[in-house]
Amino acid sequence: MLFPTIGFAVFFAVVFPITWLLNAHNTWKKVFLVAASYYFYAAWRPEFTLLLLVSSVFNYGAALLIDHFKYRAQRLTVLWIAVAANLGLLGYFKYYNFFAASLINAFAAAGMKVDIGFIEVALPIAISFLTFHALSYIIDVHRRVLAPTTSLLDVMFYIGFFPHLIAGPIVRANKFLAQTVGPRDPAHIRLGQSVFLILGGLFKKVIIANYLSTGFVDGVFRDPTASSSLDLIFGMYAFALVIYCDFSAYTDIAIGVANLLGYEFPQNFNYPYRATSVQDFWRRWHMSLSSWLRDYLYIPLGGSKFGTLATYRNIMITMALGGLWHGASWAFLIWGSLHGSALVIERVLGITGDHTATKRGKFATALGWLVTTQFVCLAWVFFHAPSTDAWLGYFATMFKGQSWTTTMTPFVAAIFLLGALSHILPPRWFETLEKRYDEAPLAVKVLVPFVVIYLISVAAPAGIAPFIYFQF
Amino acid sequence: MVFRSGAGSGIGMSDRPRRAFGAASALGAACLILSLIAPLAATPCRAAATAGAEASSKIRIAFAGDSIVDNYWSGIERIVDANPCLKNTVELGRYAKNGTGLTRGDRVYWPREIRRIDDGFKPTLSVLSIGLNDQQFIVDGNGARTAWGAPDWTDKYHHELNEFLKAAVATKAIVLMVGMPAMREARDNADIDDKNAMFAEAIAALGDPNLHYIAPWRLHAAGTETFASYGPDKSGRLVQIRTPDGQHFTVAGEDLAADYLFPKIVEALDAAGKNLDQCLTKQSKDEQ
Repeated sequence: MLFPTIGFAVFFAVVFPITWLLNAHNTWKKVFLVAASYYFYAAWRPEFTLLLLVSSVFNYGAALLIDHFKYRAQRLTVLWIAVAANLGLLGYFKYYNFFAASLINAFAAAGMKVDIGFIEVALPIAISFLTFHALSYIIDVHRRVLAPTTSLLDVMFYIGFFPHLIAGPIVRANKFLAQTVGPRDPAHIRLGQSVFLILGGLFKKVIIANYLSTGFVDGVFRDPTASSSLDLIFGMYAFALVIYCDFSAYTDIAIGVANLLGYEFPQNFNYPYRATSVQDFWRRWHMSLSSWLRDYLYIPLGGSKFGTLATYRNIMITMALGGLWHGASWAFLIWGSLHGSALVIERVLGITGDHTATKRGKFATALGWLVTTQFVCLAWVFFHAPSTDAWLGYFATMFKGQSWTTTMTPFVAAIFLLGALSHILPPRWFETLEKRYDEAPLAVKVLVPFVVIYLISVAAPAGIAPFIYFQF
Repeated sequence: MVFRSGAGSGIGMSDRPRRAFGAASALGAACLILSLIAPLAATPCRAAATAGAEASSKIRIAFAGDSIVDNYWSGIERIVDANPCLKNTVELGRYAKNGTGLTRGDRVYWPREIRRIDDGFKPTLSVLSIGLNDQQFIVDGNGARTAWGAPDWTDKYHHELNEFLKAAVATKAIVLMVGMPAMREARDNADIDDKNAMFAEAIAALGDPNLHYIAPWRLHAAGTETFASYGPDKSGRLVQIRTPDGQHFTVAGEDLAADYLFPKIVEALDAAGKNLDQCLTKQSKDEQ
């Protein structure tokens, strides 16, 4: 069940009023939302709701057991078993075939033949997000950041809550569980912000990302060696917009939907292509993942506590694994490692993520933005190219400079510019719109979403492509 | 707020709210107008393509059906793009419609689509693949429903298939109807085997010399074909050839399927007197 579909609109039209009708009966409300979330997940494959249930029950028990033990060694043992089980499940479904094929190919290159079987099971949608939510819970309990809940329902609600279930944002257990203890106050709903997050998300996904993808980016990446150098350059920048408009659209809608139900999710994007360093980029792009990696991987590895070389090593490990989290492919590992290398180089050069124009001067800031943007966009080619041959061909053709014609139509160029506006217009404009909406009469409040959704549906290309981050 | 991402906090009123509101409204209106004209903008492009097709003396190959045929189009496109002679001789038309089939005539009625493709693109040869999304109730061209699993479902589907094939034959193009490849799920495969058999049988029954059934691509040369998400690419290296959904092809898989399908296309064109030998011989010489 994709967000920009009639199916989801009907689903939410049922879930929204019932949730608020049950608000005074918190337990029943949670039971209802868990049931709705499992129904939402079952729309893809009903049998994988069992995975959701098993993960919730297992991590609920593991957290209680961790809390039960007094001694650190005991607590740590349970934690490691639970972490291994969660990652084992992720590895089985997502990485086994990739590593098996890599091993077979490596042996074959050395002239040896090994016989390793492959597993042919469907990859449960959103298993990476599900696993990271579960890990957040048990690790926070181990760190005593959070007391384990004695309510299995709360853990099922946290791990399975439908707005974040499929593609985030990754909500921390301590932040979310604190919101489940009692009825939600409808006065805290930011109606204007939620409505515009949802409408804006639909516009970014359905119009900008879909038209840019189908009208230009897909063709360029499908056969880069047949494209002109100029098309490949445009394709690189256009994909940067596509992935931003696609992924941020999902989390915008998720944040808006959750807020309408009374729950707050963390911010996930903050004008990422305005970043003036790679460190700055990761403070603006998929913020819930980068902070998760920092808190649950980089810091446990030692962070920056044990000297310069150890810090560089920890950055590289964190970013490489962060890359691999996106998918079972060497390209994702390379993409993550490239970002890790850039972060290390910035540390060596003393470039921090906090160099605003006032601190470093306008020229240095502009140069930082220029270099960062080019690096990030170049790295996206690894992320999106379907194979090693494809990204090799992409760069070889692009840098060859053999042809400077373009197949980009004026319509696609207009969509491209519209997408670029997402980073140029000041946030204050949108905030003013939200405020006007909040102050508007009820009839306007009802009319605006209907009109905008209607216009988007009229203008939408046929069929809605799945969100890119679904596969992660 | 169309573009901003995330929850944010501290919503404050602008010191120049009126101007900001006006500008944002204007932008919103511009965006929506642009959105509205998108389908209209595509129309002249299509018209231009049609005019181009009519004027062109190229061999035109249309790929029509569900999303699987898009995989075939993609793989064949790379073969054509890699050969300058073929690129000058062959024009490919991409007419796949994702999520469609023969069952839901209320959404996309494929016999009509085939006629539209013929009117616009005028294919010399059509590659068709359909059936992936047809495990569901049938809505025929008149809106009548037949439940999935109903006793007369197969008869109705057979009727829809015949209408589709007759529409394809009526275009006077050479038609290659490609069977569906093995899928991951056992229940899908049982359905696919039935449908592929039905396709072959219906094509044989029509007996039109321009209409051919092409057996689906197989990973394994002999024995029972089973789904495999990884397989050897052209160089023999194990790579992912099928997508995680257990149905479609990855780019490497598209290339394998295209390598299987392209000779069938060449053969069918050759039989109809449209020879591509000049391009293929030249490529062979270039490769040597």
